[in-house]
Amino acid sequence: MTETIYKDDSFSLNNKISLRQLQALLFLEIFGFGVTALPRRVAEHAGQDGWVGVLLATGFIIIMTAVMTHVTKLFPQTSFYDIVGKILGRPLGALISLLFCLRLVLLAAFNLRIFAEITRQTMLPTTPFAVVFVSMLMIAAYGAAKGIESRARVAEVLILVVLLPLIFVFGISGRDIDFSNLMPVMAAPFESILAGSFSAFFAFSGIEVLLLVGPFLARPKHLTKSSTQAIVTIGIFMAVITAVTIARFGPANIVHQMWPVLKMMDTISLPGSIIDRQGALIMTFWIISAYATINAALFFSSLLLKDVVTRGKHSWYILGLIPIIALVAHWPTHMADVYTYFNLANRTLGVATMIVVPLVLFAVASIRRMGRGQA
Amino acid sequence: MGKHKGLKFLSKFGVVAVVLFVLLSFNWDRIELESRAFVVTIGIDVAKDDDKPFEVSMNISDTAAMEQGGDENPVVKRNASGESLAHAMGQVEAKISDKIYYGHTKAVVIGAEVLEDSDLLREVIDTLSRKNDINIKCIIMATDKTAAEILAAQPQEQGLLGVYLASFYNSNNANTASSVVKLDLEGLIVSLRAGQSAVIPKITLEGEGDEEEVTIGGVAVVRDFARVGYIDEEDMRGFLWLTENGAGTQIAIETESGHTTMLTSKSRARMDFYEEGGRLHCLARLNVEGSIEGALFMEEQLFDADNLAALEERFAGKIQGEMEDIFRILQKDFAVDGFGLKEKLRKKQWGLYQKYEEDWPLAYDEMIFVARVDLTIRNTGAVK
Repeated sequence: MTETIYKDDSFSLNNKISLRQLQALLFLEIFGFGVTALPRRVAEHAGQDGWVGVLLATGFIIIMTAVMTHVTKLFPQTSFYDIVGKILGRPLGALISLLFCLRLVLLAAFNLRIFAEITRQTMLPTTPFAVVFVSMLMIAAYGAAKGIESRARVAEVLILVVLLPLIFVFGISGRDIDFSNLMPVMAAPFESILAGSFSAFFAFSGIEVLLLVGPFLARPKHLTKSSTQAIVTIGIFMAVITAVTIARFGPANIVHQMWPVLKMMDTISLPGSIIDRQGALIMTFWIISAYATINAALFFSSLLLKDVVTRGKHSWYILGLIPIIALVAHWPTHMADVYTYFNLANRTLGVATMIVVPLVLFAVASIRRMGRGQA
Repeated sequence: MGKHKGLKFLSKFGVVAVVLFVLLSFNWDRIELESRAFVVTIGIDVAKDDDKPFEVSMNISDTAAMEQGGDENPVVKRNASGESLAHAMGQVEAKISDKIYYGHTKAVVIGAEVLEDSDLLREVIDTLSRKNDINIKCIIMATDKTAAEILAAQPQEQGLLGVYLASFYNSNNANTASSVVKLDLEGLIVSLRAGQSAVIPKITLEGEGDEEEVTIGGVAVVRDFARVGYIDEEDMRGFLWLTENGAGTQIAIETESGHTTMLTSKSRARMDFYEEGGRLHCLARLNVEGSIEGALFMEEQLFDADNLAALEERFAGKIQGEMEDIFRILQKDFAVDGFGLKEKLRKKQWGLYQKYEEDWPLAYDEMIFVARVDLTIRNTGAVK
């Protein structure tokens, strides 16, 4: 039944993506959103050793990636709702699917709000939030409605647009970096590094889609290997960006920067350039990253809702989710509230969807020797 | 309803909505170049009015005059006072027709009275750092006069003070002319956060009437967010050696046969720490290379191999003395850790840092400074 529903909804040729396309999607969905404030968040706990916390978090995420992809591979071409239903029963399947849906909606909403705040501070100071919200949501919704195949193709193109400015900015700023700011290495207490890694763990928010992507994979055999490659790449990028940003601003100073990665742009001056502020470069990266995260959240949350309700087309649910996300994004009064709610969502829903549910599904499926057509 | 009617509707609606909103969004933040007031320099002073403690002066680039060309001075000068710095800055905006833009602000000059009040100085730093427009690389200067006086004067070479300062610091030979320290907003914030102290380059006025011009040299020393004194330009060369900004500096010594001048092409300082006799020691090792620029005509034997070594020793001795002098001034006269030694100790000697961190003022006060200079004269110019 599930397979039919997914095929019916497709605008594309076969509604399947390759593992390489999945890697591009994962990179865009996870990398941008997490990295903007990451150096500050880890430095708050571990100071100059913040980058070690990012590496530790990457290690833990690799374990969770193996767990999630194992569960996905046990039930090929099966929706998440059906997987949970088979392992834990239909009622829990519906409940957990709604939990994931809520998680994705909140992720999209907070991402949208932070995107709007950054846009207001750097480019459009007087444009109302509503305009930024609706513009971004409509673009993301359009992409989500087109189905996973077009999302994947767009991701393959956008990944270059994201990476090139980022490499350029960090390459140029590298001339003016005091790497002694990373000294002394491993001087922070292990508990502080661990706390930093817990904070960095949530920079990988969006990894949950590995549990949801099963029905769209053309050849899921090497899913674990491909996903791990993507996560390792993201982790290395995050650790390098964290280290360079901490080295640039110093551990004492970085904790006072709201978005230190974006502030990196202020520190460079292009040789021979008559233009002083090159913020547009880093904004290219940020706009695309925000689009990718919101687009993924809309796509997967609409599919989850459709599976639970068992009616209609996923595009209808996308339309329904747009005002909800916009309202939630508008809800926090100021940025301090945004991060308070975001941290709360991470510590509750984030822990549930990124750690507890995958481990429970893995454990129960293993104990009951389920999967690969046996269930 | 057709099979894909819902999605088709969404697609069309999406395209229309996106185009509509993107186009509409241009209206809110649309601003023409000629409607922007580009603030090039900001001056901050204490106002006479008790209710409005801040007075802000701004040099704004007159884009309209620039477009027309001619001899007209392309600077518009405005000032206003306010209940806070942000308020005063807002009041300046209220006095002009264009939209203020700080994205191209090159320099901020802090007046003498603001530097004397720790609360005012802290408010200045906080307000500047919160303004997203203001680049953290903009130059910070202190003055022993009012910032308004500095902004009112016009540099001879360049009409815009901020542009003059940026160009002065960017030129490779800035140190040749004077021992000038550079500080930007980011450097000031880092320095104040690390030890509540800073060394801010000084800008002042010299001459009178039409002869009056701005000069850069020396520094204002800030401790606990307030100025505790000034250091002269002559003493600041030692600071440049120790902060690795000595390349490009000219140094002259008096020899038996007149004056000999050397231009440094390379200057690398390294600071290490060790403990001896229960006291913290700071060992500064400086590696300098340079070339002779001038000596006495027909005294070429001065540059024979043997004499050259002696000359190197004398130059090294002079530099070492300058380093020791500035260290003593900052350590004993001002009790200011102007070189960020506490932070350097944290990075290099974690064990010693943990030992001395708690009572750093005492450790710094008792610190023994050891300077070693390794100087090489690479060439002696076009004359043998």
